Amino acid sequence: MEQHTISGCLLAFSFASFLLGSIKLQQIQKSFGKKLLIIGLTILTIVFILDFARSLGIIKSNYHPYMESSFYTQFGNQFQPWERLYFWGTFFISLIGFLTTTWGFFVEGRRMMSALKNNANTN
Amino acid sequence: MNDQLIQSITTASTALITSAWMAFILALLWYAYVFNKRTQHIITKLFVWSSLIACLLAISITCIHFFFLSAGYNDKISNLLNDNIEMLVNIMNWTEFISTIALFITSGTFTCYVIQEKRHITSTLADETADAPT
Repeated sequence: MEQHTISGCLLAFSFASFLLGSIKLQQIQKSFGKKLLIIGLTILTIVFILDFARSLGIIKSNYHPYMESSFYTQFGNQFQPWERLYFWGTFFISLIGFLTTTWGFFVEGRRMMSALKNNANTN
Repeated sequence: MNDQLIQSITTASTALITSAWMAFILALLWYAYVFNKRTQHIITKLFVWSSLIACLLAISITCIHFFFLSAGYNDKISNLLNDNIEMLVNIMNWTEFISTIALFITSGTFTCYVIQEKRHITSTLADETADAPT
């Protein structure tokens, strides 16, 4: 297996693992931050599973915007509309996933931090 | 579409996704730090250290990405890049690979702790005041 394929597999597993941990934490105590984490990590898990499938060759698309330049098109590179849609679709969805997860980590961390401070004050 | 517009779109999209990745890793590191502060467990210490390694590697990957992007706008950087392209691509590939392994360990330690120490977390959370902001 290529290095890129192994990385794709590890990333998909990492996000799935984070998602599992967040779901377990949400079962213990519900909070807004954990809800954000679950939404963001679900998006990222799906996107990185698709990316892993692409690196395995199951999804056949090697499109990247720089390949639209005259340097590449002069060799007869042509792309299907679905390849462009797939690239930009996964791009924006993963962006939303990253931002939601970041927000979730921030909200959850702030909640834990204030709980720690409250505990320190009461002790 | 002309080449300049394509270059701008490529630069903007790469910069955007790299920044989002960087923000995600930094937020993860902060969360790991707070989580460890609360739990003080050997597994969560590993969670913090692996996320710190992932964060440092993510910073170096971001720097290399922005170096590649700036080559399209600066001739000096472009020449420097052309002379060392093979070495830089190798460094970036290996850094990305090790960073992925670090992230894998980070997620593994987090999930292991949450699953194994569920009872401990429940008792710690019970100590938290109900009026903590959500």
